[in-house]
Amino acid sequence: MAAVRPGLEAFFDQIRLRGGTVVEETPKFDLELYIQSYTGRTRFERLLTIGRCCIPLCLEALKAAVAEAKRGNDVGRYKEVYECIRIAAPSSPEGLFDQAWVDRVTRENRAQTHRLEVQLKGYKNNLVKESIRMGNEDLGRHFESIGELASASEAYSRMRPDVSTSKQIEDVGKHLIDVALQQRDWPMVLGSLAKITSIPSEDHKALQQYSKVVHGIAFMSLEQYRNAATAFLQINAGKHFKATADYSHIASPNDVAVYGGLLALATMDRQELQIHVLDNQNFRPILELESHIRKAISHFVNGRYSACLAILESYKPDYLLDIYLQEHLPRIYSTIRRKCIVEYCRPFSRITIGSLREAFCPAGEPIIPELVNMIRSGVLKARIDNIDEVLVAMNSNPRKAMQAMTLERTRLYEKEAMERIRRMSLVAANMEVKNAKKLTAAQRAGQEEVTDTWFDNSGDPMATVESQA
Amino acid sequence: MDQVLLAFPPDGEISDKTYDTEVKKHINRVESLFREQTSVVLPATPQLLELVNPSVNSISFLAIINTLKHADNSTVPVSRSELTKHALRFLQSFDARQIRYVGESFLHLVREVIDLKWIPGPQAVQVLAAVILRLDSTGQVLTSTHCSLAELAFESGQLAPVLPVIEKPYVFVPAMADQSAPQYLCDLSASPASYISHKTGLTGKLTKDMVMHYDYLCGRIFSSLRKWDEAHAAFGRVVTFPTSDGTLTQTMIDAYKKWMLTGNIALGRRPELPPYVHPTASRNYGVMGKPYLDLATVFASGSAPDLRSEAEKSAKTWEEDGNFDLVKEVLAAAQKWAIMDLSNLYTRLSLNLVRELTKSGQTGESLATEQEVEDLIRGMIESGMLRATLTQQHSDGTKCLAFLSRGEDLSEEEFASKMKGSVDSLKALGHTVETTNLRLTMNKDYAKHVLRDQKRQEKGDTNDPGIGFEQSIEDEDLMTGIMHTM
Repeated sequence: MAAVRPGLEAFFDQIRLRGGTVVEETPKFDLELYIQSYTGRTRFERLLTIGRCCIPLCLEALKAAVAEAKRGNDVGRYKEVYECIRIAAPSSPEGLFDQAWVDRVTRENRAQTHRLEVQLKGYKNNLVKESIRMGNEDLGRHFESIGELASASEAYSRMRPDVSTSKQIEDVGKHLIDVALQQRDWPMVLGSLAKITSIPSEDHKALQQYSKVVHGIAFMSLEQYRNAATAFLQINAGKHFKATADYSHIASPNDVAVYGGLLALATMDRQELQIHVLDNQNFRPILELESHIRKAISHFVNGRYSACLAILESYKPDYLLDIYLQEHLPRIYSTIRRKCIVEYCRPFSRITIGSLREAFCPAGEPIIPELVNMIRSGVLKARIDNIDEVLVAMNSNPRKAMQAMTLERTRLYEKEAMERIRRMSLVAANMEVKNAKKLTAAQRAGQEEVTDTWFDNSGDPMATVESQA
Repeated sequence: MDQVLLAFPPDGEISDKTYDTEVKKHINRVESLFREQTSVVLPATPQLLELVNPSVNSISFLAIINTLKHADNSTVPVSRSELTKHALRFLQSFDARQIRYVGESFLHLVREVIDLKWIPGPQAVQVLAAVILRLDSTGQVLTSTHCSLAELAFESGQLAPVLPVIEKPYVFVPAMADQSAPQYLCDLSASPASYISHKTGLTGKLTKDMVMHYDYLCGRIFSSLRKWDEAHAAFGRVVTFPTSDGTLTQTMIDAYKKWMLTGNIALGRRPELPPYVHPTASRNYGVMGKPYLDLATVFASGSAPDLRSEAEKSAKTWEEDGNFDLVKEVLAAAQKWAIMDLSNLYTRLSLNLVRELTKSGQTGESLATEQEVEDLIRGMIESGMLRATLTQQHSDGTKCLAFLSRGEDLSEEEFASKMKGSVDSLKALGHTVETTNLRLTMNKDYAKHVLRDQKRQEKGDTNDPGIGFEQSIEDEDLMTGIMHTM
């Protein structure tokens, strides 16, 4: 192990240099169990992400990723993970490049592409719609499996003219969404979703779960956290909830619980959390999978903010290793933390900064800069009394605000109206600034023959005409 | 002679119509009196000047002064200094309603004052300011006298006396197209825009350059008096001067630079151009005033050291544009606005913390001592910029700054009276709008449009807000689109 260490360090130094996330703590989950909840191509993505971000799990994850890549036909992926493991663990068996495998798979992929294309051509000649559709689908699947996502997306969209049932429309949509998800093309994801959710479906419940999960992930990635939370919370797990979900190639139900719970915590107030999360019978089975999230939410609702934050803090390494959540976690966490501070201060008109520090900065970090930032961004309506070390709530005075606003509005209105009238007057007196050069240029170009002559009221020809004449 | 000169105005209330006929008759009589009987009248002028009251018999008084100033020096029985005294008495007390009828000779006299033929500059500034306000107390119309006054004041350094004039924002300029004259010039309800014109002779011709220069000078006068809000507004009037294709004049560019700097001082942030500025113009401003824009951006970011280095970087530009002093003011204002910003975060804090948190724009460093901070804050409180108090802690003697809440709590009565003030000024605005509306209604094109509208109504197709859309379409087919019948 000691021999591997320098490689790991070099690897993570590179990641840090590129501004990537690096997690030094060991997460709470077991990698093998974790990856079992997923199917399809997301397994590799997740393994690679963990390998790249988590120091303790790096080797295990990268090795699993190599195995995962070799199980499929995607040469690009193998090369990608090899580049990582080459630096992180050069002496391990996976550190050697398997050229034979790469050559064989590349050859097979090429042959398969050719075979499918010929097959599709044959179907097209026969003009059988159903065959053409299936041919395109096969081709799309193949491209997806070898990592040519753009071609896959193209092949899938070519299925569209030949669909005949709503189930097929749904299939096309799902294919396109799955590819777009891998490409992180969120507008495309939302666009395709709109198409499949607008048609009546045979398996309504499965589609509902699928579409809400994808909606949620897309909104989250677009930083529309409130919309994302709403989408996740609308998932109807139903009575016969099964843990292996229809969306396991995208996310696991545990992920959904975490996404939904955290986003709700970040964007909803206490009452909304109670109604839409804790009392939400449809979402409840999913939330139970991650009971600590439920606990954190109920701590928040019950005003035990430091307990809530402590739970979230202890799970932070786990969440930082999630492919979708990783990027947004710092923002979501800071929003939750800010909300906790605001809620903590709400009942008091004056609160000592010492007590705030005790509740929110157990390690003794300074809290005043954070408070200053919160006040500046308008999250916390309070002022700091630095002499007595207290935070003073600004009691809003709507009457005063209304009076000030009214007077200000009339003042602004008057000012703008006067200015506009002044400008109208200036234009009416023919005082507009005009480009004199342009006119002479026009003259040079021989445009004097313009016959329209304009005169102002006093009978004098106007400036433009003067210069032309 | 006396009867002729004192005949107008007649005693008692008279209608505008009678006033109009009487005043015209009076002018004719006075003119012929001075023309035909000069030899008789001239020797009697010393007595006449005492007898005729300039505030009551303004036309007659002006005629006497006019005759005297044009007459041969040897025949004039009144010394020049005496005459000056009378002329000044007249200019400070004339009846604005009568003067509307003798605008030309009045303006002639005013021009002589502007040319300093009567009194030296400083005194002339005061007299001219009074004349302008007497003629049109609303200050709605910009006249040639305004422009000359601003110039005279700026040159002579007599700034304070012009404030009452330049603080009134003008909204009209002479020679606006379609501006109608009132039926009777003496109509007291007529808008100043209708009677202050070349035709009545109360103002000379104005060009756009004169108007811009006037506003520019106003800005400079306000800046000299450290009235930053007003200066910013005045420069803003030049900056937003209407332009048909985004072309800028040199005055506009100069004004933009000063507008940016005064905006920083007055608002504590980077000023933004209003939406009605021509897009090309606003782009051109950005190019021409780049160093100023950059300075303002750094100013808004609140970093004093950056501000200082930015100011040093373009020092040559400031020098060339003659804006060095203004930039210095901007640097001085930076720390003040930083302290103002602290009032958004703190209720009370020690002066030492203020010293640590804010840096001087001039040096880019924190102030050296607490005393300097205290002096700075004291200055801000005294100037009314900051609502705060300086106190000393009893326990350890640390000095601290306590911010007071912004704006005072108004009682219902106070608020009502302020609102009434607003309503009054909006009503006054209503008159201005009415004048403009009337003028625009007189526009030829508008009249044509109204006529066309009327004809259409007579035809009976009134219920068609879609301008003929309904009639032109017979059928809309989703496959082929709209089918037109015409």
